[in-house]
Amino acid sequence: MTDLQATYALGGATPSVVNYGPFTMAERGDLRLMSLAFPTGFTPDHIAGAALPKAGQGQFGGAVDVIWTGPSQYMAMGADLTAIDADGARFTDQSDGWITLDILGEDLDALLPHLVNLPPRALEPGGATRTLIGHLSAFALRPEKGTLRLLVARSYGADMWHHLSQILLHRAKT
Amino acid sequence: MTRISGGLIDRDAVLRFTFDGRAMTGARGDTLASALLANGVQLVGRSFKYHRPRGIFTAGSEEPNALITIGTGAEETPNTRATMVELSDGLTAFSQNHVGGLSRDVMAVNDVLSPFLAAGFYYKTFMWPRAFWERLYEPIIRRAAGLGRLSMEADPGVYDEGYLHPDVLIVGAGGAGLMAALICGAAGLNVVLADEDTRAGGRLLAEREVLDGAPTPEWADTVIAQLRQMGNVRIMPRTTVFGVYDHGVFGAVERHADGPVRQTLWRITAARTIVAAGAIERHIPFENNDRPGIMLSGAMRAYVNRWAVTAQRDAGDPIAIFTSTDDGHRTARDLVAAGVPLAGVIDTRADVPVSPDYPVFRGATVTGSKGRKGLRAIRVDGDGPARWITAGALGVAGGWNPNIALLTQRGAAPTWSEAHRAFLPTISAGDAMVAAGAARGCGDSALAAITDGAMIARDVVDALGKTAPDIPLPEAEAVGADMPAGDIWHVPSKRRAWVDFQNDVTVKDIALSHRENMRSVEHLKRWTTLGMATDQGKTANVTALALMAELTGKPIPETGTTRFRPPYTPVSLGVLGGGDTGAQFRPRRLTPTDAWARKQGAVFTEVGPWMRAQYFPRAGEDHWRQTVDREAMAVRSDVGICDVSTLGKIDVQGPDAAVFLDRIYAGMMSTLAVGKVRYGLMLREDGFAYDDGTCARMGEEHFVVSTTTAQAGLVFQRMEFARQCLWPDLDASLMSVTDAWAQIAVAGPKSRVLLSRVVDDFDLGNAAFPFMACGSLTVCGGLAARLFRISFSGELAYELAVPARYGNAVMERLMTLGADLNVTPYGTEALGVLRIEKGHAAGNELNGQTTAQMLGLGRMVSGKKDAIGTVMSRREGLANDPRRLIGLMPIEAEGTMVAGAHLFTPDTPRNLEHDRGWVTSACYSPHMGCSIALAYLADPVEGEPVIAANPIEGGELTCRVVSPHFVDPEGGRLRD
Repeated sequence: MTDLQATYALGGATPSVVNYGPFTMAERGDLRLMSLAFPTGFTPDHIAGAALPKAGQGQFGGAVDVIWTGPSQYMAMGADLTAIDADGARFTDQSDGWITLDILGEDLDALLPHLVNLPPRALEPGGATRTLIGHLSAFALRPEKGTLRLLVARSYGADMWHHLSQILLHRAKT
Repeated sequence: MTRISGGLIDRDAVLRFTFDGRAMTGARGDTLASALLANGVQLVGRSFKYHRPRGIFTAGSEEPNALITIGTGAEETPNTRATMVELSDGLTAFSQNHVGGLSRDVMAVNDVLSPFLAAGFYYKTFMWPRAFWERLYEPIIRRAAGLGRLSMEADPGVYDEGYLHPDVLIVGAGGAGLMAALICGAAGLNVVLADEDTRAGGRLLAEREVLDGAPTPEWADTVIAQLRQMGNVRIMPRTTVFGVYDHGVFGAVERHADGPVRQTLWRITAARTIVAAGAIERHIPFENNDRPGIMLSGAMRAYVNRWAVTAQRDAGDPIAIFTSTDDGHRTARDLVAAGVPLAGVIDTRADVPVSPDYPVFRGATVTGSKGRKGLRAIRVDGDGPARWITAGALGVAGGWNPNIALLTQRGAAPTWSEAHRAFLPTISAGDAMVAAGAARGCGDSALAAITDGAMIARDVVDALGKTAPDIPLPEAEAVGADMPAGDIWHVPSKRRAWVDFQNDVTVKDIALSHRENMRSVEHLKRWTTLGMATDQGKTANVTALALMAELTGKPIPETGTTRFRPPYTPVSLGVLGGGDTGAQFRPRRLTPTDAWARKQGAVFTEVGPWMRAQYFPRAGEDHWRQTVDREAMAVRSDVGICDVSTLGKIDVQGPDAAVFLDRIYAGMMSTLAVGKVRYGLMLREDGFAYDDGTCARMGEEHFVVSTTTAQAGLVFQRMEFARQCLWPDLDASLMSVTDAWAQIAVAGPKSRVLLSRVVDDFDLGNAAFPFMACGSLTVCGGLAARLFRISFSGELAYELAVPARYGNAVMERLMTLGADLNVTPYGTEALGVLRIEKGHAAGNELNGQTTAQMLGLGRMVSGKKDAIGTVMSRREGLANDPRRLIGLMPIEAEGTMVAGAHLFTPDTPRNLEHDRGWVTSACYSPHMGCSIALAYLADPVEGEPVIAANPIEGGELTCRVVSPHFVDPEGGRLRD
């Protein structure tokens, strides 16, 4: 076990979290991410007990969450990914490739138009899609009604954090 | 004061404001324009070219005259239209475009000089002497040009953005828009109803009609209340839909009356759009028709009915109406009903009936006006001898033009309707954007607009697969048929009659344009600047077309059409930026060792979106060169560490990964052994090199491709294109892992010693891990890592990759464990020096015009297989390019090489014909003790002298052609 101290994407020794009125934004340092790619046309039905989602969808709530990321491509996320076993899959550990931000609040539906250029149905609970946020490519996930999860390339983490903070700050005051 | 009774204002809410420093009051519900009129202010600004006194001309966003600066200091906003400014307590407003006071503008001398300032005068006048163009004419013209002035201070306003995806977007909340929203909303569709006004209702707020037994504003309020109940209709007042863009995306700006955000930029994508934007009244140009107090008749009616204010300076002054349609009489009736003294209606039609309520001048026209800063009298010609009659204000009614701006922004030409004497939008079956109400010529009455809105909405509901509910139309009194409009577009005169008020374009200008053969609409527009002001000629364009048609003798539709471009009304740059200013102007990427580098006091530089450590100054170093020299020398003598994570990293996996890479790279990759790295060059389809890097084989079916920092995204994109579209039969997967790994270069003769202190049980010996080896390992007690023995400096060197979250910690550990080895962090500047000394190509050399041959890598383009660009690289022009990458040193050691200098043989002319190449990269080499450079030179001969001429700053330097490898040309060090 290494004695090196990890630095989270926002530069802290612990994941960042902030509250703006009814909204909370939290860096998820506990989630590991794994990309899975299958040969075209060869895709199993399940990964680690989770049924593979369709395009624009995710499977949430199990031991491992899985989202569709492209034709024959998926991303698994969870605290422990050792259970993942998929024949024929090519694995790429992406735990450090992305920053994962959860935005929590009761009235996320009113917030969404200020965050993502997606029709509301794309981010109903269970939705997961790739989009642009603040000029940046991102995955937008809705594991549940009160959670919007955003994945952005790690190097853009601080920039995205600022962008989202401004939106949440303004919406909290409005 | 000209405030009257009635209206839709709240007199109990008194709002204080100033205009040009003069304190005034208004009421909640006022616009700045209505409040100014209520205070008897007619003169509100000066015209653009002639600095003529101007007053409020309209009651809406089409306003050409009343351009006002709002606020002071950083809050100052020029060119707002007084008609669109919602009055608020404490508002400060200033008139524009005058030198000295508004009443005594010294620039009004331009009006006296007007014979010299006709259409196109600047094209004709400022011709000679040529030397005056830049130094005299341009500064003068620039100073005189433009409307309003910027404060030059940063805008403190907060802006944000948002996205809406309704089923139906309805633009305009007048009668047609409200009814359409009611039907679409009741059908269960998600609706956005946007209106630029502060209050929904459109013209319903400005008229005295009755719907369902109540005044029209009450009907509008009732519908709004119903829409609010629905939950699926988003009502957006103060929201201007300003543009239609590709793929059905609409741009809209919402102005917030309160809250932290000043404006929001909305991008709206709708399945269907109903444009119910109403119509814009046109005027009838006559001599001196631009005096303050002359306004559109419909605007005058709106001021009376909605804002309870009349347009003359003193309440006792009579008002006159000049009309060619029945609409002017409608205004007259409303004025009479409001108890406003009326001088009469001048109607161009001889057969119009007389009125018991006011004088009617039949078959007459207005042929002149008096009043320096406000209207005092008009000259009436016809229905008796020409005479002057007293009038404190004049309403002009020349008919209505459907507001087709949004409907034509994407290029659809409108259709001329002789019945309407106007252009109507051209809508085809199945169009996603349709018009309703007055916007398509169906707005003669409130009921007509509402009926049309209902019909259009039912079509839209049907098209979207829903069932339209049966919602009854309101009941209204029958409106008698209008008399045909008079056939008049202007009142002929030998003096000036304004067509486009904002750009000071007159009927005479249009006639001059015709005489000078600028007859097409496009030429007319550019010669006279008609329609090119901030109002896009909303009150002028159709009239100008009609005038040109009259001059050419052609019908209007043959003369041209009128189309509009986004934005419909001016949009501030602040809201377009969405608040992304300063450090947030564009996204920035931080390296995985950013926190560590900041702690070291690094100076950062932008490399594309990346912020990279440029160099690490130490105490006592007061010039960057000292720091960079020290860092570079430390790598040559001891060991240096540098974050190179920004280089692109792509995992390629699958049984066909090797074949795939053979087709991507010019060189062969399938023969690469597991655990080995090979340098690779990628060509574009046209045969030019576009990126280079390394390819490491981590496993039989697993490669890691590295790219340059600048092209990382492009390379991945092109590889994905090739995978998905060119060779879908190949079983290979790509995954960008650039962000996942912190990659640290450890370079210098002591790099192996330093690395040996962090690796876990890994043999770094030359035999086990030679030059161009790679492998997976663990470091620092179990941290998974990848190690590549590659060198960009020419020294013994490695690149160590660890999970990004450990980048800072590994840097710290290397610094701690290497203290006795003089380990030195180095930045991009030293990185550049080291690679120039070694003769490695980088972005400067790979500029999109570089061939493999030029780089000295011609043999790397494999002849044993095909790859993207291989065949094209062999074409004559490329294969025989005589230029090669060379090194240059100054003959005199103290000479400084400059990148960008062009190379010539001594004693040849410095021109393109004799240009032999250019310097691509240059630096001071602490290793060589002088300035050195890399360059492309045609037919180079080692040792020959060449002249490096600086084309920008001047100056020449005599250099000697040398090998591009200034350090260790045999490559012994990196294999050591």
